Amino acid sequence: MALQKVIITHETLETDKLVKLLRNPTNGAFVTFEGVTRNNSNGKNVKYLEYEAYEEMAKNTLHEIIKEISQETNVDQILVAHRLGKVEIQGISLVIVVGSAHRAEAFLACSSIVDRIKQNVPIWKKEFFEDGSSWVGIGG
Amino acid sequence: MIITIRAFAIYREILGKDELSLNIENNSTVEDVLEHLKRLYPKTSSLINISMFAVNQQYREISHILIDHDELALIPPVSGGK
Repeated sequence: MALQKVIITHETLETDKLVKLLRNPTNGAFVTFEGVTRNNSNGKNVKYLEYEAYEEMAKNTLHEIIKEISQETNVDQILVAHRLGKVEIQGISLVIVVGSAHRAEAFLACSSIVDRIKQNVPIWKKEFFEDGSSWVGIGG
Repeated sequence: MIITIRAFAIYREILGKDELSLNIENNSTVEDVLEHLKRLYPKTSSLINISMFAVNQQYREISHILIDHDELALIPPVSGGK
């Protein structure tokens, strides 16, 4: 049973609950990725992050990525959840869950999706330091 | 004709709002609107060179010709991460 799901939310991401959405008797493997907030960036102490998205387009772009990766890897159960708003240190900003019959294609699909998300999904991250803030990718 | 500009992240901060309606000449391109924007908000000048632009949620070249009621999104570099 194919399941391709995208969630963009200001709520806390709960990985356990998200994994349960993909439970299926044909699955032999689940690969889960969590992207979490680091406490440092280029040697500076990060206090917290804020994420902002062009939500409608980000959703569509994520669906396109999932569809492509699903075709490339033959994995048909993929969930991507992205957090928006303020995320504290070690808070989860991104969860990817891949369910498949065997592990090899699940690992491949998961890592390919993370790489692709970093390239062209309209979601932005602002780092807040002790003495200011900066949009990642711009240096401004 | 009227188009809507959607401003995100650093563009939203420079414009002081996340949306802006502009009355522009028929057959204007994305580039024409960007030139107009640079005059209205000089701080966008250096950013525009490193940004991408979407019309109705599709990435487009700056030579793309706009039509009435288009939504032009200013997309600064995305967050990346390692």
